[in-house]
Amino acid sequence: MMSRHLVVLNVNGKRRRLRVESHERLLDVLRNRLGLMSVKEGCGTGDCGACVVILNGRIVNSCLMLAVQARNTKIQTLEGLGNEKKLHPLQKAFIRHSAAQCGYCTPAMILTAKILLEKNQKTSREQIRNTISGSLCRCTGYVKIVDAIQEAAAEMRGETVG
Amino acid sequence: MKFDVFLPDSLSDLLRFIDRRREEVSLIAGGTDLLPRLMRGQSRPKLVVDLSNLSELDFMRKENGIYRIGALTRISELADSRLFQDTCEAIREVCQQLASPPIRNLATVGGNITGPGSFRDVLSVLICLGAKAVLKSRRRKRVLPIENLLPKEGKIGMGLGEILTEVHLQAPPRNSWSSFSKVGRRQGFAIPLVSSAMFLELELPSRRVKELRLWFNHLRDSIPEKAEQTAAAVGGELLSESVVTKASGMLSAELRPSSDFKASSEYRRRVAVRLFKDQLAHCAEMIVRRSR
Repeated sequence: MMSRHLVVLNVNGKRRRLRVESHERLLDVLRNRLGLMSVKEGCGTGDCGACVVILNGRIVNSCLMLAVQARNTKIQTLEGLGNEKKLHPLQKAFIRHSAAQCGYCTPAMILTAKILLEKNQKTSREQIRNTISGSLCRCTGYVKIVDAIQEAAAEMRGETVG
Repeated sequence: MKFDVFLPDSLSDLLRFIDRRREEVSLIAGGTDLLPRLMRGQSRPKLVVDLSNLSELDFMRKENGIYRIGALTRISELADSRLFQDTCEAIREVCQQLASPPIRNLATVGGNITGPGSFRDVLSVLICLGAKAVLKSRRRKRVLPIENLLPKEGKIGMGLGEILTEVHLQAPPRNSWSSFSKVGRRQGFAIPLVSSAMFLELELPSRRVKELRLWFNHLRDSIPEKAEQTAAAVGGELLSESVVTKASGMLSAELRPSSDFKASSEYRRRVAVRLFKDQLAHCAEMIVRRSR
């Protein structure tokens, strides 16, 4: 029984050793300790999905996990996806379609879509909408987001887009 | 919000630890129930026990005609599993519709059954299918109908020092089918206004009802309730339009839904009757189709 714990996380391919407080959430550690500001806090209760990250290959709400529960896991945030010189097809498609307006939901949307497209690049609009249903967007009405994900899927299939 | 966390390495380590505690401890697995309650100030634990590392409670398999589901099995694992295909479809259906994809990747079966803030749709299906709960403490193991874990006056039927370790489910008979349906204000990620779990067994080729079990949830709070009189009245009858019409009337009279800011009592009653008719037709069709 402890109030502080030594945890090892693999975040965006880098091994991180951290001493975390018992009550710290994964979201708090990623944002405040590791400076990964793409991970957003919205509701803090799992309803909005702005805090979604990829943990061991699955999307999860980082506001619903204690940091100590994430010990020895592999985490990916948007910072680990692409960079300014080499954007991921999803990032390029989101820019082309103006699928980000205020941008608050965008990191979660892109990470969620990444997992979907890794499994299935011939996905339907309905499957896309179901998959992103855990992240709320109050700006776009979802149409541009779904368009962008479909276009990224086409690029990942090797088709010419843009 | 400050507390200590205990990280047991094994089930025996956990049972030894909670056996020594006189006061209740907060258990965390998926966190989808506890973390929101912490955020809202509804729970202020001094000590939290993290179960998420106990891989021995994370399994699902079929042994000697019995499905065994570990308490730490994630909802998404059940939703994706082919284990229940064509046998316990209601399990797949409820897990595919529960909350949102990222929450399904965290939430566990055990949490949906025993979590104080849970919406209990998985529990509703498991009760309908006649599942049993396996409870363990340091000194004993109990197997009891999972229905006994329904909250009564805010408490569920588990003692101090006891935890749910797994769920047992008898493989259903061949001429049977089960189904889960819900209606919310939108399709994705909505707390249902009404949900319904049904188990139907028919005699074939007559289509006489051998057994009907019918459970509704969210009619009043999130505590599943049985439509006992309607189910009993349909038992033994040949499935026909007149039987369904009569049963729908009975169901409408039997249910006592509440009104709240989400829906009126009358709306919930009408939705429940609609779900009943649709599910009965669906289950009967699937039983007949599978027998061919």
